Amino acid sequence: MKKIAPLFCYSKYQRLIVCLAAFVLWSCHHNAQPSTSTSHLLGKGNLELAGTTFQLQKEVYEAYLKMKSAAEEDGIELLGVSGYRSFERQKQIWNRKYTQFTQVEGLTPEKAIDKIITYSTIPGTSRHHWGTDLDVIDNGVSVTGSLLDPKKYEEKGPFGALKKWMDEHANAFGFYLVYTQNPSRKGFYYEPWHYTYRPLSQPMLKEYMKLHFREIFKNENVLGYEYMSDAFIEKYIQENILDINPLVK
Amino acid sequence: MKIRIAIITALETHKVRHPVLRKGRPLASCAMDGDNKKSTVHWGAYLEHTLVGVVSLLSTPEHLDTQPNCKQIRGMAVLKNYRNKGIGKALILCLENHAQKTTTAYLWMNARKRSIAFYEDLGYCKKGSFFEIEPIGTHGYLYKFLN
Repeated sequence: MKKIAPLFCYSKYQRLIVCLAAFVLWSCHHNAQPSTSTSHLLGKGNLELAGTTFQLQKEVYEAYLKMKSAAEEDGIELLGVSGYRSFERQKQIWNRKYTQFTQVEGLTPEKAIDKIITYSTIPGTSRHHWGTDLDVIDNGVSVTGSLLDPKKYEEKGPFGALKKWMDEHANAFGFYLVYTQNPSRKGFYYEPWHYTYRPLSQPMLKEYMKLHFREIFKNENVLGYEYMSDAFIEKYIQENILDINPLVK
Repeated sequence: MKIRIAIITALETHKVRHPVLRKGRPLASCAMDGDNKKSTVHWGAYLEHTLVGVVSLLSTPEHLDTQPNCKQIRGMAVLKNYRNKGIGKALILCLENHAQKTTTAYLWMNARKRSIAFYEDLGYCKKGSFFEIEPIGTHGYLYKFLN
């Protein structure tokens, strides 16, 4: 069997070349894809997810199941309906809307972007990318029409009992409302169905704020990124990402 | 047997809606609220050149801009002699594919009791108790989130 010479047997130059090659290989790999933790924050995979009809990070899903059982004991059929959402799905929605608004409806890129962010998040900026946030309904009551309707969660609405139960017990399981009913809060509208698992999402938000969003939108080919000014991105961060329930920040 | 799915007009749906969903009632009873709205889409399933199945997707009437976008499935029908051939499934998959590409968060419908198992196989969830829609019969509320 041919012997493989150990590194110290090569000449000085050979060793230098081997080290350089290793560095180039490492840096290519490192730069080609976002690091694991960045991928987690952007909905770009590598998250270990649990659940069938909807998915959450394993720890979050387990906490959800505990909360679900506790609610059941109190006669509330709590049910999660929507959890993790991938970057690709959000990008598909965004790019399709952007093309529709700019090319078919003739809006300027800036106006198109403003119109899309009334309803949808810019790809990479949805909390649903994190696998920590979920939407809940009460599956034990009959309804008609839309489910995720703030009126349905009012005291006398079909999900009023669920909302009351969540107000009293959700925090004990780690879950907090994100988009609260506070008239002075900016950003996304009141979402009485949207809860986050704070033990994981609070540190994730801190990491998230270290990201350079402009770079991400550019690298990921989010349509219209060149029309997002620094002022626009700053306002979006302050209002849509950070103007949330203070308890989850 | 090749099924072809195409977008059709509200009026074209009546050819299938009438014998399946409004049998023995006037043709005018085939019209549904919102049929002619710009946001409504109707699909037809063709075998050769025969229209054998239809389905419609409507914006929920009470839907507000402050809520996640949802749409209602209505007027799903396949002619009697063409059932159990995958036509209904092909129609629903086509509709879901369309909804996936838009900002639709979830779909809902009031389905006839006997068709509920069909939708459950396609991932729809039944919610609440059965209820009557006169003069058609017993219905259940179904929904599906598009994650």
